[in-house]
Order: sequence, then structure tokens, then C-alpha cells
Amino acid sequence: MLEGKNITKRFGGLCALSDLSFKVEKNEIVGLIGPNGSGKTTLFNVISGLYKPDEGSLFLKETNITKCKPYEIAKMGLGRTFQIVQPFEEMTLLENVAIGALYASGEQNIKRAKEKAMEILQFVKLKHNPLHLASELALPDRKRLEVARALAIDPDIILLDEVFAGLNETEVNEAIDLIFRMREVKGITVFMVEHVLSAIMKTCSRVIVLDYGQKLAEGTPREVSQNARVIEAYLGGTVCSN
Amino acid sequence: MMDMRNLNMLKKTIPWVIIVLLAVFPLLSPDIFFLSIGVILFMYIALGSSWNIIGGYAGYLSFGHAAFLGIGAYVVALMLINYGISPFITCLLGGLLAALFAWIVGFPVLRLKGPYFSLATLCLGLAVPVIVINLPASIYGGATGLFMPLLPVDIFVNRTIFYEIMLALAVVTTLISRWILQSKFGLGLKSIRENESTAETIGINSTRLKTMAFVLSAFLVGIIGGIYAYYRTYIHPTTVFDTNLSIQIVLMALFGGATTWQGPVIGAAILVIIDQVLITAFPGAPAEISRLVYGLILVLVIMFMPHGIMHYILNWLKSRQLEAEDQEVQKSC
Repeated sequence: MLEGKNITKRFGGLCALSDLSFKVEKNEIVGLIGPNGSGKTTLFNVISGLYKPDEGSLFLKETNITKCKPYEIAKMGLGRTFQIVQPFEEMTLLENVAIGALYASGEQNIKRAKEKAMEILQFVKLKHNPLHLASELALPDRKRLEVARALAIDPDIILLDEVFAGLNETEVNEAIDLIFRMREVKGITVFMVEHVLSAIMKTCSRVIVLDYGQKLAEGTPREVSQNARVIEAYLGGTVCSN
Repeated sequence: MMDMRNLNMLKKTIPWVIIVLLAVFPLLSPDIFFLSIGVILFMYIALGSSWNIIGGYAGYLSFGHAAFLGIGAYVVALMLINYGISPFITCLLGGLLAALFAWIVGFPVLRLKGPYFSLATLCLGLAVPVIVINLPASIYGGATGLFMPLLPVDIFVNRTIFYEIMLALAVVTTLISRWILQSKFGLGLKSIRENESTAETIGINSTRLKTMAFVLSAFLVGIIGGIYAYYRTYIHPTTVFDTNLSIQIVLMALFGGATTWQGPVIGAAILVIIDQVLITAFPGAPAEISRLVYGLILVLVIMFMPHGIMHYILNWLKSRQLEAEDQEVQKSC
């Protein structure tokens, strides 16, 4: 579904991603974890086309998208959310979601796009009046809106950037449920950055760990959480082995 | 419920009634002064609505729209003087050339954002008249400007013609602007204003949409410029490329509310009328007094209604409507 080969991204002298290769298979739910500043969001920005990698190449459904513009990548079926949620504040919830349907999934008719947006808002269980402005929403609903907007483009794969951050336990469970429904009902592959480890344990079949822009470890959540190098990266210093 | 429908009917009819009343106004043989105010008012409405497509909806505040106005004006004047073709036809050509110019300069300037874009367009508006002044004066008039032959009718009929044409332009541009706001195109532009890179990640080709908006806006302004030139009959680089004009357009649209289609209409109407009233209100006093009051009103609106008058009113109306709906839902539960 999604593959990166030897990706390097530099910001001046800082190497945010170095020689990183990864693969996400269809219908997988893959987690991307790592300490702050390890390059997780940079990787998402490179995948969605907001940054161009300095070296390496990216493939979406076997097509090379390394040089594609963000809107082209979106149209090819890659949706994403942002760590700092960015709803279109001065637009209604309905408009926020309908835009994706209009521009990426080829819907021309505004009325039909809005009907589709209504369905998606129900799918993410956003119960707020869809004719209200997005600026009125509280954080959990903003996150739902963010996911809804990404779903409106009919993605085959969705990149979720810390959708659990700032949510309470009930809300986290609802979000986990949503991620599973995305895969079961809509057949969407999920690639997610996450800090809430319990949520990773419940959702991901595989986890990739980044540190200083390099892949530190990869495996099932259980394997990774017991990996000495991962523990060291998170806690710092050396780990005493019993 | 019946009341609601009546109210909606009323809302739809009132603007058309006003337009018809304005259109038949010259039949009352009013003082020419009022017709002149009408021409200026309608011109600013038309300019504001055209500017709003790129400046308001997409949030790219252009301070150089006088460049497009001037191009339209010069095309019309040159065609009339050299080939004797009526400005009412060549204004379309003026619009097309302004659009072409916008398309070309759009490549570099539309890459800039926020104040950088505004500054670049401001410089553009300053640069074009300098170029025109330095073109061969025998053809382009240079610093002397160009004189166009008058329409062979008496002054009242002349004013009435331009009054009606400007009214038509104001109505057409406002309708175009309203249609855009409710279309797929308008939604795309709005999302660019809100957050351009987020818009890109949901499939919006922002470069293409911005260029389309900029070119369309310039096309309409070019047409208006052509008609304006024929109305003035004498054009000079400092009058048709006037930076004050560019700024005035921006102010009126922002004053009325640039995110709405009604904004430029309301903004132009209020500011043009205030301007005229102030000028006549202090007959003995120096002209600066009226400018001071004018500036004060602008500052007050910008301080207390930063998104413009219409934005404020529409939000208030909408919140009331939504509240009523929410209450009904609660009752039925």
C-alpha cells in the first residue's frame, strides 16, 4: 500500500530523517512511535507531500509519488490529520467535510457532497449541529472533524497524527473503536503516530520506532515495548538488566 | 412557518425592488450631482465585488487592483482614439488584457502569502503607471494623458447612460460573486483562506484556484476600468492607476465584510454616502475635517467589527436561527 525507500530529509544541518525505509501493507494498522523530535511528524509531512524528501523515494499503491504535490497525493487516496488540529474555523462542519468530497473524490454536485458529508459526520459520531461553525467545537469534536475531513476524500490509507492526545479514557476508547470501524467498514489502511501506549497496544498489529530520524526497532507492540534500545531511547541512559 | 416563508420571499424581493427603483431613478430628472454619485457608488460596488473574489474569499489582499483598472482604461482609450471602436465593445478587450496581465504576474506574486502578497501587489500597482508614462507619448499619451471624444449627447443623457451601465455592472459582478461563494470554487477558495497547506492535503490545487480567482477578478476590474475611462473621457496614469483607488477598494470590502458577498455592496454604499455627506456637511470648514471623520469611522469599525459589518450581522442572524432550531429540537425530545 505505502512504501518508503531510503528516505532522507534535512533541514539545514539537521538530519530529520536519515535513510529510513518502511512499508505499510493493505488493511494493516501500523503505529509510528518515538521520542519527541524523532521525526514522526516530519515523516508524515514527507509522505503527504508537504515536504519533499532530499533523497529516497515513496510509493503509494505501487505508484511513485516522491515528486507529487500534496493535492495529487490526496486524490490518489491518501488522507491525513494534523497533530495540531486545523479545522477550517470559519466554515460549518458540513462544509469542512464536503470540501474533501468535492475536490478529491471527484464529486461535482454540492448537494450530494453535503449528503456524503452528513454520512461521514455520523460515521465519526460527531453529534454537534453540522450547520454550526467549526470554531465552536471543543477538542475531542475537533479531532473527530479532522478525521471526518480526511475520510471525505475516500482514502485507501489514512495517516493519523496523534488523534488520542488530549482525550480522556472514554474518548480514547471511542477513537479506538473508530479506527477499527474505518478498517472494517471502509477498508482503510491506518498508519498512526501515537504516544498513548495503551492505545497502540490495542490497535496496532505492528509498530515502527523512530529515534533521531532513524528506525530503531520494528515489530509487534509487545516485542517493541520489551526492546532494550527502545526503552533506552525513551527513558535515557542505560537499562539495568536483571 | 408561514411567517418564515414570507420573510424569505421578502428578503429575495427587496434587493430586486431596490435595483429597479435605482434603475428608474434618472426618469425623475434628478440633479446631475446625484447621478454622478450613483456612477461612483456603483463603480465601487462592482470593483469591491470583483476584488472580493481573490481578496475576500481566498484571503489574498491585493493592493494593486488599480493596475487592472488602468489597463482596461488604456485599452479602451487607445482603441477609441486610434480605431474609433466604441468603448462599450472594447471594454471586454480591456478586461481580457487585464486578465492576461494578472495571469502572467500571478505566477510570481501568488506564491507569496499574507502581507508579502499585499506588498508585491502594491508595488505592481505603482510600477505599471511608471511603465505607461515611459511608453512612446505619441501613441500612449505619456505624462499628458489621453483625451477621448465625448458621446454626442447632452450631459444629462450622458450621465444617465453611464449611471445605468455602472448599475448593471454592479448587479452582474455582485451576482457573479454571490454565485462563486456558494459554488465548489468558492468553497475551495475559502479553504485556501483558512489554511492553504491543509487545503492541499484534501485534494485542492491551490495554485490553480488562486490563479483562476485572480484572473477572473482582474477581468471584471478591467471591464469596469474601460467604462470608467469613457465616463471620465480624460485619462492619465495618475488617475486610472491611482494607488488610493486600490486602497479604497480594499477598505470598502473589509469595512462591509470581505468574507461575504454582501460586504463590498454594503461597504461601498456606506462609505461613499458618508464621504459625500461629510463633504457637504461642513461647507465652510477645510476639507480635512471630513477626511478626519471618515478615518475615525473606519478605525471604529475595524476596532469593533474586525471582520466587517456584514460578517457581524450574518453571524448574529445565524446564531439566532440556530438557537431557535436547537430549542425546537429540545421541545420535541
